[in-house]
Amino acid sequence: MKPDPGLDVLEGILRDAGADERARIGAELRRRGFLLVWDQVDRAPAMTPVEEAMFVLGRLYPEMPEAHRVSLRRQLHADHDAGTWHGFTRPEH
Amino acid sequence: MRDVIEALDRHAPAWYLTGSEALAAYGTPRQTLDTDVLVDTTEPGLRELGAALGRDYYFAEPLRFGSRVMASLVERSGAGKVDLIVRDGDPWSREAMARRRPWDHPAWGPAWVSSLEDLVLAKLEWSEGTSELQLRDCRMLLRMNAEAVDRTYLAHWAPGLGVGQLLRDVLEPGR
Repeated sequence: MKPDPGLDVLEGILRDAGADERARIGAELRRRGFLLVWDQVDRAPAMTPVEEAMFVLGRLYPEMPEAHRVSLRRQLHADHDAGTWHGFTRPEH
Repeated sequence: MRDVIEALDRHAPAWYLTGSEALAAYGTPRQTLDTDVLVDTTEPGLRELGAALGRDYYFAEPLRFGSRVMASLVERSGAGKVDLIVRDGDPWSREAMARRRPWDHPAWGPAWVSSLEDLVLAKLEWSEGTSELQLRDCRMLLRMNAEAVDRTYLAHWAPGLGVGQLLRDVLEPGR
């Protein structure tokens, strides 16, 4: 397959940026990913804190194993019922 | 994540960042939302880590996927997730742990990260020959680090991991 010259340029820029800067870019991509999911929460019907948390986890981590999903739902319910957890905090824009 | 790193340093003999965080260390960052950590520990060791972080993280119990055991930590506040993967007992996994690199992470401080070559080998393994995303990452890592990568090391371990042909494929100059 013919090499893409644009890709070479982009990779050169990222190579020159260094590991720390690339990690910062990765963190920013992650932050934006979280914001996108919370935008979806805003467009979804009203949910309880536990439902909202499971919605967020499902969107953030679609490949999370079902056993982990079930375990987390149980823990969230228990803490919510005990009044020790009130929902995930949304990231700041 | 700093608190997770401190707990790892206290409770595990050795560990390193792999997956997308390691990808950013050597190549193009990707919008992967969780953090993968390879840990030199056991299932009880994972539970010990979970208990140590229980105030701030929910702990999803270890699960076995073939030879691999994985547990997850989910932040009680912001939903960030860290996957803790137990190091396999095979010779390459031991070697990969021994070759981990120190990295003063810009956000998390002193940390350990997979070596470039072991990240490539891990991604070839994860791809199972079918994940184009993982194979694309490998090609990108090899392009961006063409002068630094230890091809002899890759060629030594790849056949035993069953990824000899995949390695030859991603080492080809075309994309």
